[in-house]
This record gives sequence, C-alpha cells and structure tokens, in this order.
Amino acid sequence: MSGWDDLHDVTPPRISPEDAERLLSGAPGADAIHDVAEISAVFDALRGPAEPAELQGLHSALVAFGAAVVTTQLDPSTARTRPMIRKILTGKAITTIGVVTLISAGAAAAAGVVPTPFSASRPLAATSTQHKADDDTDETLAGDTTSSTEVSTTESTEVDAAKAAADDAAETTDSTDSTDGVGPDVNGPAKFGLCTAFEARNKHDDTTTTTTTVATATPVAEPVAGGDLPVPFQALTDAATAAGQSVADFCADAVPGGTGDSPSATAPGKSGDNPSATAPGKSGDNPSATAPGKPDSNPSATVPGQPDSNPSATAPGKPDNPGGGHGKP
Amino acid sequence: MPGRQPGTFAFGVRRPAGEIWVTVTSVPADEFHVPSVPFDPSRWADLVAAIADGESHAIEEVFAEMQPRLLRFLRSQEPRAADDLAAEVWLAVAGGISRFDGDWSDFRAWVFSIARRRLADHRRTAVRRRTDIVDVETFVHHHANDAPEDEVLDQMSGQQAATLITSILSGDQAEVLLLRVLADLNVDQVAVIMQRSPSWVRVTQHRAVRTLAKRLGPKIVVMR
Repeated sequence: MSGWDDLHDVTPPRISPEDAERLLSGAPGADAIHDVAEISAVFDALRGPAEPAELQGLHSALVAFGAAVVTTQLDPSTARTRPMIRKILTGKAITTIGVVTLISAGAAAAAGVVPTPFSASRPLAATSTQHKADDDTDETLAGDTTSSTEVSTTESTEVDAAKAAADDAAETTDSTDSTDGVGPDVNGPAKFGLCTAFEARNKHDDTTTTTTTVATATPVAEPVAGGDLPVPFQALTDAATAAGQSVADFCADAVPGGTGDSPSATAPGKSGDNPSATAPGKSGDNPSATAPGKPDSNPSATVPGQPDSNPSATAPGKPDNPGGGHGKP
Repeated sequence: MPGRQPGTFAFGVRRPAGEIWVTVTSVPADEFHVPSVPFDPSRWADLVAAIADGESHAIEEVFAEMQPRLLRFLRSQEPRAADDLAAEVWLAVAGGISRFDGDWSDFRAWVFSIARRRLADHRRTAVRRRTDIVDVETFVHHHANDAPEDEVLDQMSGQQAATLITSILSGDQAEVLLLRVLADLNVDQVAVIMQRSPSWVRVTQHRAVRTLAKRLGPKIVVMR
C-alpha cells in the first residue's frame, strides 16, 4: 500500500477562498497552507526582484517624462494665451459693433431721426431748421445738415427714412420750437417782428377754429396751446407777463427797427398819425387799436383776439365801417 | 531543458491548440541600471511631485519598481510586443502624471489599466493583420516541454512564473492572478480594471488557485 493518496491528483486540492486570498495577497505564512507550497513559490517568483532585462527601458521613460514635463510647463502659458485670444477677438468684435453703431447713429443723427431725451417728438434737424428762420448762420448749418443727409443716403439703408424725417422736420419748422434756445431780445429791434409773427400765428390758429367769434371773444394775448410756444414767442409771452400786460398790449408800442418807446417810430412804409400806436404795414387811425397788416377804418375795431370794447367790431382785416377809418394816412 | 545561449531563457508548453514557446532575452549587464535609492511607498506623495517636476531620481525609483511588474504582465500576454507596449504605457503615464491624484496602489491600478487597453489595441491590430512574422532563429533553441511544472520552481524567475501561470490557466484566470499578484491589486481594483464584479473576481481567482495547485502539486507516484 502506498503512502500517497491516489486520488490527490484527481480531486482538486481543497483550498478555501480564504486560503486563496492569503496566497494572492502575499500574507505572511501563506506558504504554510497545505498543498499550496508550489503555488506560493510561483507567486514569490512573480513578485521577485527586477532583472536586468526588465529595466532596459529606463532611458526611454526618462525621455518621455522629460518631454511631458516640458509640455506641462508650456501648458500654463498656452492656457494664458487662450483667454487673451478670446479677449482680443471679443475686443475686436466689440470695437466693430461700436464703430458700426456710431456710424449708424451718426448718420441717423445727421438725418435728424434720433430722438433726444429732452424732446421726444422733435428731431434734431428740426432745431437747426428752426434757427434757420432766425439766423443766417443757422441757415448754413441747416444746409450742411441737409447735405450730410444726402451723403449718408448712399451708405445706409436707413437713409430713406432719415431723409424723409429730415424733410418732414424742415417742413414743420413753423410749428416746432426749441427748448434750449433763447430767441431774440423781445425788447430789442426784433420786438416788432416778433409781435407781428405772434399775431399772425394766433390769427392762423384762430381762423382754423372759429372765424367769427375770434375778434369778439378770443384774446390775442394768450396762446392757443400754451405748452407748444416757440422760444421767441414764449419769450415774448414771458416779457408781456412780466410787464403785467397781454401780448397785444405789450406789442402795441412795437415799431419796426426799434422799440415803441421812440416817439418817432412809425410803421414801415407807412405814416402813422398816432405815434403811440401803429400797425405794421398799415397805419391806424385809432391809436388804441390797430389791426396788423390791414387798414382799419373803424376806430373801435380791434385786432383779432384783442379785447374789444366796441361790440360792433367785426372780423379782423375787414373794414366793415366805411366811415370809421381812412385806411391810409 | 535544452541548453540555451547566455542571456536568454526559453521554454515551451504543449497545449491542445499547439505548442506555445516563450522566449525571454536578457540585455547586456552594462545597460542594467539600478536606482541608488530603493523604492519607499511611504514617500509616494513626494515621489509624484518630484516626477511631475521632472526629477530623474524619482522617475528611476518608480520605474525600477513598476517596470518589472509591467513587463512580466505584458510579456506573459504578448511576448513579442511587450516592450513596445510597455513603452507606450510609460508614455501615457508621463503624459498624465501631472493630473494623477492617488496613492501608490491607485498608481499601480492606473498603470495596469493603461496596459490592458494597450494590449486590447494591439490584439485588435494583430487580428486585422492576420500574420505574425517570427524569425526562424527564435525557435532554434526551443524544445517542447510536456510538463512546464517540471521547471524548478525555486529557480524560477519572475517572468518565468508569469509565463507559467499564463500557460496553465485560462485567459481570465491568468489575468486575474497576475493583476492580483504582480500588480498587487485588491479584488475591487481588479474588478474595476477588468470591468467585472468583485464576486466574479473572487470566484475566478479561487478557481485559478485550485487549478494551479492541481497542476503544480505533488505528482502521483505509482507504486509497483
């Protein structure tokens, strides 16, 4: 009888999972496990020290690590340049957008379509055109504005609208005013012109509303729409108010080329009998009241909108009383 | 075992699918480089920082500790391409060491996961190539050995042991054992690398150990 187990090689060795784990992890005493001494020797050899053949790639590894270190050291600079590139590109984009916006805004401003925060309904070009009526210098300025608008029509698609707006603004010169203008001196030589224009304006406004009752009931001193007065008219109204008079009374002494204080002042081209009261272009017999631009034969007749003490007064500019006036001096 | 040239070692295994020959060629001793400082896992954090800074002594220390394990694993799987694959692994490690964050065990798991991917890539390429040219001189000094377990275990080198395990066990069993022993990884780490469950790893390693014990255990002595 043999001392060997004949079934040893037939039946797998009884190795528990715990023993297998001890063998694989290299735990101390693993080689003492029954029937696994050979396996333990193999595993020990597997964990054995390095042989010369296994270390021959060290130089290549050093080169690889050196190159990797160089690359890593270069990375931060690369990482810094990327945001810089983005900044540059972003700056260029912002600059381009800004330039385009400025060009567009400049063209629009030149065309007068850019609203100002102080005047929501009034284009910029209208202000220049408004000054055109008052000053020759501003007339030149308005001409420049027009030429600028014409130049810009070839550059932008907004041109047509801008030009149309500029044309509209030029057409609405009489009905627009400037909030920041000063206007002529109401007590100076321009007083007569201001008064004449003011009365003509009120006359125009009144005739569009009531034709027959204006001369009898509507005072000429008060504007129809107090908030929309042009600056010269507003200055005239303010001066009249400061003097405690209506505009008509304030303008009563206005004579062409000077103030009404001069006793020698007369109506241009006309002689006035009453040095204290004249009508522009026409002389009035009634020193207390004159109708601008029209002869008044009725001494009691008043200008449109002027308070009238004579209830028989009729529409302005029409001498309804032949015996009342002589029309011309 | 037949005689062999100095600096080379070869042995073969006859399996049902054919003979498998493994050749390990040593290099001249003058190319052998031994780091002056032995590897100390407790200084791992300093070593990683030094490697990231490109300090050669740290690279040598880690390389000397890691390269034998890596080469034994790769040579047991793909003997002819093992050195090239190892070089690729170290290139990948060098490229990613600055971003690596972990201990020595994590580093081993990382290196061997790279090695497995390189192996998989190499095998896909080899399958497409369909040919594997081998120099005739490779087989001159080889002979068939019907019993690789007859090798003297006490004189077995690390590479011989790895090749023995690969020749005896199935692919999964050999890989599990090599990762457990060579890479010194635990069950969970092996499961992650092989994309299996820890239970599968435990069962596989247990079967592998039993198979090795059966093949390497005492021989049946027939008494007449």
